[in-house]
Amino acid sequence: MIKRRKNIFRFIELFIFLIALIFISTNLMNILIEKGTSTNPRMHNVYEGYAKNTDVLFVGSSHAGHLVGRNLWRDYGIAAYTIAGNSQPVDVTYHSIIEFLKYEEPSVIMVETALIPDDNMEEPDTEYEGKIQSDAAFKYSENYLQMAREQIKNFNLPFTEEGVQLLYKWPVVHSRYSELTKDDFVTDAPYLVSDVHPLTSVPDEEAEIVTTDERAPISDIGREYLDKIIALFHEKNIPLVLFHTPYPAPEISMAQQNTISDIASQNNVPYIDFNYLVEEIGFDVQTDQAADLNHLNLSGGEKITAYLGQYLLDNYNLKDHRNDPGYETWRNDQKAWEDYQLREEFESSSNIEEWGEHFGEHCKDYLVIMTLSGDHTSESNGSIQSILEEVPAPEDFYSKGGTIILYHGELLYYSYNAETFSYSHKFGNSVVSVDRLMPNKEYMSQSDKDDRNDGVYIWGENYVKKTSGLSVFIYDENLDIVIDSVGMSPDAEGNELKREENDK
Amino acid sequence: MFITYQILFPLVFMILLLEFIVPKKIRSFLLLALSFFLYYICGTAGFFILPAVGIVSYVVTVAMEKSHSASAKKALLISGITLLIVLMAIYRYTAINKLAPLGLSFFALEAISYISDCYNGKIKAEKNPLYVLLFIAFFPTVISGPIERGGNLIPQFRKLDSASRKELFDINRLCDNAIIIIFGMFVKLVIADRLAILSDHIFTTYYRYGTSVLIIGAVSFGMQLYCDFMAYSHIALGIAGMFDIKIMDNFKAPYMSLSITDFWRRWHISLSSWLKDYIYIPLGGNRKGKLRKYLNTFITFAISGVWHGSGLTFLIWGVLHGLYNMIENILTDIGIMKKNKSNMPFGARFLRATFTFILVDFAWIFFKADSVQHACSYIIQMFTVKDFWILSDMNKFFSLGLGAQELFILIFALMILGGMDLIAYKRDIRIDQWLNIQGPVFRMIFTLAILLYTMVFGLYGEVADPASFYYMSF
Repeated sequence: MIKRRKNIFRFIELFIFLIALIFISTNLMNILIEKGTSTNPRMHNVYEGYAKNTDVLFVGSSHAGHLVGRNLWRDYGIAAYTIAGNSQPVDVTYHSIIEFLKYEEPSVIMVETALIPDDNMEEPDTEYEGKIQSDAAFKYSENYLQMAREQIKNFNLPFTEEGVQLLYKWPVVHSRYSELTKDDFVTDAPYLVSDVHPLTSVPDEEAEIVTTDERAPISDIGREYLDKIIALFHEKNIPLVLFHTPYPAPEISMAQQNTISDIASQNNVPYIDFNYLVEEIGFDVQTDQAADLNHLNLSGGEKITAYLGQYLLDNYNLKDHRNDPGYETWRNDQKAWEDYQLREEFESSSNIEEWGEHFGEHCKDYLVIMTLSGDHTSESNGSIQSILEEVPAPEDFYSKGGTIILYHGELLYYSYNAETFSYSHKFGNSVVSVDRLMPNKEYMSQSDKDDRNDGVYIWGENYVKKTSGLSVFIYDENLDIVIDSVGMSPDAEGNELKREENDK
Repeated sequence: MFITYQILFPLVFMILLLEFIVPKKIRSFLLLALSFFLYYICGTAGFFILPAVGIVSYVVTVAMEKSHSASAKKALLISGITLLIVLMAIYRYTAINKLAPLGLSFFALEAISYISDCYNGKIKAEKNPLYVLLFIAFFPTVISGPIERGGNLIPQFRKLDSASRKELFDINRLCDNAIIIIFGMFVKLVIADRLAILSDHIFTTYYRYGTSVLIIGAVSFGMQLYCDFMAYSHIALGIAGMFDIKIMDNFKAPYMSLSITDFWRRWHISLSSWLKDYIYIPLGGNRKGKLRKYLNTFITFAISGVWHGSGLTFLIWGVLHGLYNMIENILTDIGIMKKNKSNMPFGARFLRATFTFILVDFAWIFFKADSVQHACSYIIQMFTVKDFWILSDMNKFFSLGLGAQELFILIFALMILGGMDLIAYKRDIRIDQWLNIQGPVFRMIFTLAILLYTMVFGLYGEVADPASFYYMSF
C-alpha cells in the first residue's frame, strides 16, 4: 500500500516535472531562436502578432528585402510585410509562407524568384549549408520539422551529425546563449516590416540589363518548390504573384526566369519581370541599382514599389487602411522610417550651426534631454546659447547648468538649483534616467575620458558626450529609437560636434 | 565516433517500451540485439571481434565446466586468457592498432575475469550463450566500462527474463536512473567538455606559458578526465539501471582522497578492483611479505599503465603510481603515515587531500602528453618559467580558451559537482539517493535546474562532439 502511494506520488512528480520542462524549455527556445533581422526572415515578429492584418506578403531572397514596402503604406495604405533573407533558399521561402499563413491571411502573396533556379541547392557550399540552419527562425512545429527533413534530404546532410541536430533544433540554437542581446528578450523593433537599411550606393561601372527570348532549365529542387508554392496557393485560394526585380543578370539567369514565366503562365499565375519593364517604370541601372549590381538601391526600390502599389490596387481588392484601426505596426514602421532618415540628416550635419537648424525643426517631435556642465559658460561664439534658444529652456538654465528634459516641447524636468540630482522616468518599455553626482565646478576638472557613473542613461548606455559643455540627446520614446546624441564644447574648433562616447 | 545522444536515448526509450511489451523470455535477446546494433552503428573497426570474444568466453567456460581433468581446465584457462591478451596486444602494439575495435580493452578484461572466475569456481559457467554474449556486449559498458563481472551481470539478465511487468516498470527506479543520466550529461557537457578546451589549448601550446598557466592546464586536465569518465560511468549506470541491471559505481569522489591508496579505492573502481583480483592477488598480494607486497603493487600499477596505452607515457604514469603506492605503503608500515584517518582534523584532511591531488595531477601530465619529451618539457617549463602576473591580467587569463562567461558557467557547475562529491565522500551515496532524502519538491527543482543548465550551457551541436569520451581511446 505504502509502495503504491509512493509510486503514485512519483508519477505526479514526473508529470509536474515534464510540464515544467516543456513550459520552460519552450520559453527558452523562444529566447534562443534567431529573431530575424533586416537581412534575415523576421518570423519572430509574426509570432508576436506584429504582422496582424497584413494585406500583402513579400517573400523571397534579399532582392525582395530591398523593396521599399513602407511606400505601399505611405502612398497606397497597403499593409505589406516582408520575409526575405540573404540568399534565402527556395525551400525556406516555401516553408516561410506556410508558417506565415498559420498566423495571418494576406490578400496577396508576392514571391520573388531570383533564387528559384539556383542550382546551389544541389551542391551547396559550406556557407550555404550554414544558412540552412540560421535562416530557419521558425518555432518548433510540424512545419519546421518538415523543412528540416527536406533540407536533410536536399542537402544530403549526414543524419547522425547535422541532420539529427536540425531535427531537434535545440543543438542548433542553444549555443546562442553567449550571443543574446536585449533584442532576444524584448521585441525591440516590432514595427519593422521591411529593411531599415536600404542601399544608397550606385554602380561605379557601366552596366546594362540583358533580356532574352531563350529558355534555360531551372534546378530540379527549384522546380519542385515552385510547383509546391503554386499548389499551395491553389489549395489556399490566395492570389500569388511571382516577380523578378531588375538587375544586370547574366543571360542564362534571364533564360531561367523565362522558364519560370512559362511555368507561371501554364498555372495562371501572374509573373512580373521588371527587367522587361525598365522603360515603363523609368528604371536606370546607373542610378537605381546598388553598387553590387545585384540589389535595388533606395531609389530603385521606390520605383518598383510604386509600380507594385498601383498594380496591387488595380488587380486585387485591396483597400486603403491608413485611417483604419489595427494597423499600428505599419504606422509605427512609417514613423521609424522617418526617424531613421532624420537620424541620417542629423549625422550628416557637419557643424553645430547646421545641426541646430535640424534640431530646431524637429525638437518638438521627440523627447529631448539637455545637460550643461563644467565651463559651458566660457564660450564666446554663443553656439551653445543658440541651441538653447531653439527650446523652451528655463531662463537660468544656461547660467546654472544642470539638466532639462523636454517632452515634445514641454518641460518635463529641470534640475533647478540642485548641485547633485537623480531623476528617472519610464517611457513605454524603456527607462530614461539622469544622474549628476557632483557639483558643477568639479566637472570643470573632469576629463571626458574619466570613468563616471553619472550622465543620461537608457538601457545602461550613457548618452552624455561632453563633461564640459552641452550634451543633447534626442529620443523617440514611443519606438525606442535614439535619433541623435551629441556633445558641444564651448568654443569648439570649427563648431565641431562630438558623437563618440568619452570623446575628448 | 560514438553515436549521438539524440539517437541513443530515443532508442533506449523504445527498447524499454518493447521490453515491457514483448514476452519475458526475449527481453535479454532484445537487449543483445540493441547492444550489437548500437555497437555496429558506432562504425567501429573489427565489429566481429566483440561477438567472437563472447563466443570464445562461452566455449572455454562451458568446456571447462564439462572437463573433469584439472590440467585440461588449466590448459583451457591459459589458452583462453592468452588468446585474449594476444588479441589486445596485437591491436595495441602492431601496425593494425588503428583498426582496433572500440572498447576492446574493456570487454577483453570482462572476458578474462569471466573465464577466470569460472575456473576458480567463483561462478558457474553459464549454459545459455545469450547471457554470456550479452555480458560481453552489454551496450552501456562495452565502450568504456565499468569493467563488469559475469557474477554480477549474468544473474541480473536471467532475472530480467523472469521479472513481472510490474517489477520492470518501477517508476521510482526509472526516475532515479534518469536523474543519474541527467547528472552524467551535466558533468560531461557542461564541465568536462569546457575543461577540455582549456587543457587542450594549454597542453598543445604549453611552450608559450609558465608556472601558473601550466598548473591551470594540469589541474584542468585532471578535472576534465575525472568529469569525462565519471560522466560516462554515470550515464552507463543510469541506462543499465533503466533495464533494472545494476552495474558498478566507478567513482566515489576520488579527488577528496586522503592518500594514493584511498584514491585508487575511489578512481576507476572497476579497473582497480579487476587489477587487484586478477593481477595483484595472483601475484601473491600481501601474503608473501612486505617486500613482495611492494613489488606486487608496483607491477600491478605498471600493468595498469600498459593497459591504458602503448606509449611510454602511460608506462611512466603507471610506474609513478606504483612508486606513490610503494612509498605510501612503506611510510604507513613504518608508522610515519597514519593508517586510521577517521579522527583527523579538517586541516590535516584538507592538506592530505591537496597533497594527494597534486601527486595524482602531476602523473596526469604524462597521461595527457603526446610523448615523454612533451611531458618533460611541460614539467620543466612549469617549474622554471615564472608568469604569476598572468593571474592579475584578466585579458591574458581569459585568452586561454575560455572567456569570462564560459568560466563563470564552468565555476558554477564545478561548485555543484563539488557539493555532490562531498556528499558522496561523506555519506557514500549517489546523487539519486541523496535527492531521495531531500524530498520530491527539491528533487524536482534540482533535476530540472541541472537539466536546463545542461540544455542551454552544455557544449554540443555545432561546437563539439559530446558523444566522444576520453576513455574510448583506451
